[in-house]
Amino acid sequence: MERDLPGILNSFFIKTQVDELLKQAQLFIFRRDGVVLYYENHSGSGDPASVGALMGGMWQAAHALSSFVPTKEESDCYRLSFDTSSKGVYLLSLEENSGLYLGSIFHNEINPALIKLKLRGLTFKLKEYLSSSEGQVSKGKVNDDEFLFNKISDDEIENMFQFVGL
Amino acid sequence: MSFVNYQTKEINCKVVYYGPGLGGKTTNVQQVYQKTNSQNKGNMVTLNTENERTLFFDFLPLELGTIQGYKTRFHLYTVPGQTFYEASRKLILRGVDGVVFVADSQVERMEANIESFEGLKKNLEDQGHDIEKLPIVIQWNKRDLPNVSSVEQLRNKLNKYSLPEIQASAIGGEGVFETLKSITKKVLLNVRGGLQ
Repeated sequence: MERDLPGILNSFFIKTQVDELLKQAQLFIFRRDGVVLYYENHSGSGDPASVGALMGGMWQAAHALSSFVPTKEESDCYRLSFDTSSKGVYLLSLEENSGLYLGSIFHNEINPALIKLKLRGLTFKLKEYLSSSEGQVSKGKVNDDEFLFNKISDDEIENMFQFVGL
Repeated sequence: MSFVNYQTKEINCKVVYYGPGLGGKTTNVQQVYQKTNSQNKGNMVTLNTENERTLFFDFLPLELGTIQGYKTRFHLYTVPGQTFYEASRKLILRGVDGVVFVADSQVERMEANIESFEGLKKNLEDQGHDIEKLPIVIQWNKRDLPNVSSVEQLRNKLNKYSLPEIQASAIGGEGVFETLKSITKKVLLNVRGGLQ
């Protein structure tokens, strides 16, 4: 059964004391395809969907590039950083196999290395939580062999589009 | 792969506009952006080269209305059409729920259309998709131009799987929303995860 990831991530952030330093940054947890499952936007602008798409694309492109690195170890765990001495973007893998990532956008930082260290610490806690029983809560009685919708009429589709096509 | 949040009753789906270079993929998405209420769309992200060609992808998040109690969010992506960017196209197709193949109707672009469609087929197969099961809609674009192949010629060369077809002139907006509605319906009907 599939996990209720948005619910699990919400529970984590309710239960976990997040470092004060990280509260000044934007945090995103997103899937490989860029769908954002959780975000905290304390300081920045920009809509989460666009940020998720860009972060997902960045990670995938970087991951594809990493295949050209001549050596490979089983324990390799990549991080992706694009930053200056005071601001930037930092991405970390939470679950590479299931394609789950933590991204952060930060600015006005005196010590970006410290915020990266705190983010790695947060990732460690999240990984532990996701592998614990609390992190395995399923979506309920969902059958992935069945379709969600049996029938959709053309009128229903037209209704969906009533706010577009102006 | 589509994402259903049962608690908030939301569905997220990914649609990719695929096709040969300069065929009108970005124009389709730009038309959707321009003709959509601001509260139903996010920022359109474009990663272009200096001469306005798609380098990595265009992205437009759309919030469509509800369907049977579920809010729907569609993420529209385009791929870069130029042959050179095959690696990027493969990445963008990951997790796709539906594809709009934008074919350029001009006679001289037939070979480019065929090459692009074959590339799509291979890239989907490499990712474990069955082209006959994945929702795909073909758009015959640029129907307003004078030197176009007939729809029958295009169909014979490109639509061996009898996929739904829509004629369009994306630059003027004709056929753009018909295409989007068609792929939306097919994608939603393909979402898995029925509640027991």
